[in-house]
Amino acid sequence: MPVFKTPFNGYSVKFSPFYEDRLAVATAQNFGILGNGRLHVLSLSPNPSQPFTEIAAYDTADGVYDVAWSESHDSLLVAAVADGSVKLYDTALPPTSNPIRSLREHTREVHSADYNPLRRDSFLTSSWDDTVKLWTLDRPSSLRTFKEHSYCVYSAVWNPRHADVFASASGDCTLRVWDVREPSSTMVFPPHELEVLTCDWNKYDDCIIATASVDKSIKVWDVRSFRVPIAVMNGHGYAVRKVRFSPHVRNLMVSCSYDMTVCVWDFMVEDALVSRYDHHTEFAVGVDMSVLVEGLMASTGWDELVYVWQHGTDPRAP
Amino acid sequence: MAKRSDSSRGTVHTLAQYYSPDPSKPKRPIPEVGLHHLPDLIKRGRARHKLLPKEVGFDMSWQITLIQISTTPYSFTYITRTEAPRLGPWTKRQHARCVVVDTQIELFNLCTSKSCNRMAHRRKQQLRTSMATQSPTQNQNQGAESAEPAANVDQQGATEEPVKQSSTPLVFVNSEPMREEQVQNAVKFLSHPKVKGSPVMYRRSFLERKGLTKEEIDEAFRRVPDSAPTVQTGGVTQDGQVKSSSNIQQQAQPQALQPGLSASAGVNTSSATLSRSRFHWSHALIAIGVLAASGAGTAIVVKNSILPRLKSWIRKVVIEEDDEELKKLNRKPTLVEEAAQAAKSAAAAAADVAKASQDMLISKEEEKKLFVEVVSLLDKQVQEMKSMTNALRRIEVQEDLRVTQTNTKQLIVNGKADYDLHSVRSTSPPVSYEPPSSLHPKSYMEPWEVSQVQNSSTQVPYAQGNGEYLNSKVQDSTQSNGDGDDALPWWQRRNVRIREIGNEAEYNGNGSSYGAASNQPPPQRTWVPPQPPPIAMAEAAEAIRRPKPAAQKDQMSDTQSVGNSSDVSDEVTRIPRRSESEGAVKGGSSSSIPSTVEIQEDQELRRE
Repeated sequence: MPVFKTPFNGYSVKFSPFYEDRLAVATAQNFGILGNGRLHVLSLSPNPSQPFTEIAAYDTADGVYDVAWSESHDSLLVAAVADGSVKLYDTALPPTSNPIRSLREHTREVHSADYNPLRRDSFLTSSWDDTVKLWTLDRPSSLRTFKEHSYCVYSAVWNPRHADVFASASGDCTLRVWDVREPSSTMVFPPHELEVLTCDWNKYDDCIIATASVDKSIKVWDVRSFRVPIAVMNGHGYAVRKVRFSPHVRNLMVSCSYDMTVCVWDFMVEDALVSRYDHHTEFAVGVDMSVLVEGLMASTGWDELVYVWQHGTDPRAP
Repeated sequence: MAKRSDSSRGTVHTLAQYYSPDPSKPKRPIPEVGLHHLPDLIKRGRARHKLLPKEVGFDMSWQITLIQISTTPYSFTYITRTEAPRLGPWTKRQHARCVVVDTQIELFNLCTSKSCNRMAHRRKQQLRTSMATQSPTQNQNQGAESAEPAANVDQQGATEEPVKQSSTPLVFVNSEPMREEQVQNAVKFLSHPKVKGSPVMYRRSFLERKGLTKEEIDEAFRRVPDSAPTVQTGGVTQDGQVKSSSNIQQQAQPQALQPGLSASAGVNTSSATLSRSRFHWSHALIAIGVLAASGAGTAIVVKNSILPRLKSWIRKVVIEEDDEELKKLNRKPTLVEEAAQAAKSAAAAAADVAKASQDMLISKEEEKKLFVEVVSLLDKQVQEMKSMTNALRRIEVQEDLRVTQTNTKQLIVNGKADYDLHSVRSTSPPVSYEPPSSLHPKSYMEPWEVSQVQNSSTQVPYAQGNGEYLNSKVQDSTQSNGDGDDALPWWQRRNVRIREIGNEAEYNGNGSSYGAASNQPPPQRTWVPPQPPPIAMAEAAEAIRRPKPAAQKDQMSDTQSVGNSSDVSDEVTRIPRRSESEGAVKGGSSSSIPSTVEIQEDQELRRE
């Protein structure tokens, strides 16, 4: 299974929706606390001796906390940079002309970026300045700013079924569901007693959302009845950093945590933990499941390694 | 077009690889909404226009297309792509040439009412005509095929869409009614004075964290009149379409709420039971109050304790550390106010004491200066006495005429001595005053001062005996008199000494014997009877040496005025000693001397 060593500590990894062998890795120097950042675009090759080929690498002045592939252009990337800027990169252009745009509106670190999979022209960025901003590719400034959280917004994710609906998870322990057409959030509820670090929508059921928090648990909710979770999954030893639903299997989801493991869960089953991978030797902070290849998942962590493996196999196996 | 049909078949074939029941090939899962009909569509060849999913099961890029496909077998929407150069490898593989009709899709999404459906229908026709201009053959086929399904789409898609769209707000909005208990708890929370001081944002986020819905929070804010929440949503711009659609949405919402209410009835009961077992507001308020009070109390106590501590530290430099400990012990803050007052009074007392000690030091220094002066004067007197004795010896050899001269000289000397003694006497009141004051701030004496006192007290036996420590230290007093007797006998002794001085001056011309007598008290701490004077030459040598050590010793005992006074008295005693020794030496001196002594005595008596 291919392993890629990044020079900096990894923060996020995303598969390209256009190419099944391409992925982007967001990294930051010194664990993202201080220093530069780099955005890698890697390509998987069938050649076992050289599993990864780096298509492009872009340096940034501050750490890159998240990356999102554009759904409209196969070479476009959106990078969420820790200095508060949102940078757009085009891998088809020479590196001298990259980044093609640098959007500076957030006043604090931009923690996540997510591209609208349905409209494919807009993307969201969430930041530690308590806001979520909506952007389009053609405009130099944000379309809308959603400011209702009272603490850092760690994640904003579009609903895969409803083009205008998205959810935001914040450090003020609440999850808000927004509709872009509405002036304010349409729903707000506290999924956890502690900070909610991540959330993700189920790809097959538009009302099911999973949240994971500092309290080491992952909860799956139905937004229609948000008082009681559908499932609560404990098993991580530390705060859960990221949760992703599988695009192929309805009940499957993958999570990565500060306990250096990547776990795969099935929330409809009593014993939810399907498999656990502890290949990382540092915090595992980024995980993604490929849309194009079933079962393919990638993870990255602060140990500067990117693993890509098939579900059910050992990520460290050669 | 043949090509198109071929390609369409190719597409069908390609698509079929996803949906074929061929077990060897993994079957891509299909979302629930309507896509299970897709294979049928494809097989029947109705899917004339290529869908471009990367994977049809769940394809994030093309989800919209899947949604738009209705559940009825013959209706679908076509997706076309405008940016041909941007086509990915998938599309190339599938030979797709399509145009994305995003706006149409958008309309489909938003429209819930019938009028909107009509609009969608019209728009679709427009698009079809535009596409017809681009590729007439396409449109022909499209028109033929899609007329029927398009119509179906309009009807059923539209009906689909309203259901979908009405479900959107229904789904993503809190549809349960307000829980009165939660609202009341929130009202109590907001009415709390501590909470009133906090920013509105914090109050709102606190309530949200407790699980209140927006409506409940708004209701609570409405009920508590003071707090003015501001819903902050920085909306910069919105599309005109979106606004119109939002209006339409709001119309749909009340309709949707009713079915939602029935569905959430069951949820309410569960939430009510949950709220009972949950966090209680009163506990939160009590905790807030206790924490705030304890925080304020510790802050006040710390403030009050720091001030006196600083002052005591300053004092530490001047005073012993015992006082600090005493004050710290005294400073137990049982009550904040009492502690503050006690600290203030202690600080004031300490300041006063410091001032008093300083004054004492100053006065002691002054006395020391005076004593030095006195000693110097006495030295002069001693020297004069020596000269006098020398002169007397000379006179003894000579005739009586010179005796009268010496008498006058003695008178002068006596006058000087008297003057000196007066000056000495003037120092005595301060000396007598000293011990009481020096005793009182006993603790303020520094070690080196204490040792000096010791030294000086040992030198001076008649330290004004009121001082306790002087008493203890004056163990080895050279003089026979006890400390308690110092005052009176000292005066008396002075007079006696004066007389004796006069006697000495008369018949002791020997400065050496004078020096020998003076030798005795300072070096020896115990009283030793005066030794018989040694040989003349030795005495002379000692006498020469005498004034220097005497002067040095006087300088050493600086700070203690008691020491000064004791030195003064010592000097005075020395003089009589010398005079006595001189007198002894000159036992058989001339008769003129006794006469002069008598004269002196008379003079002294008169003066006294």
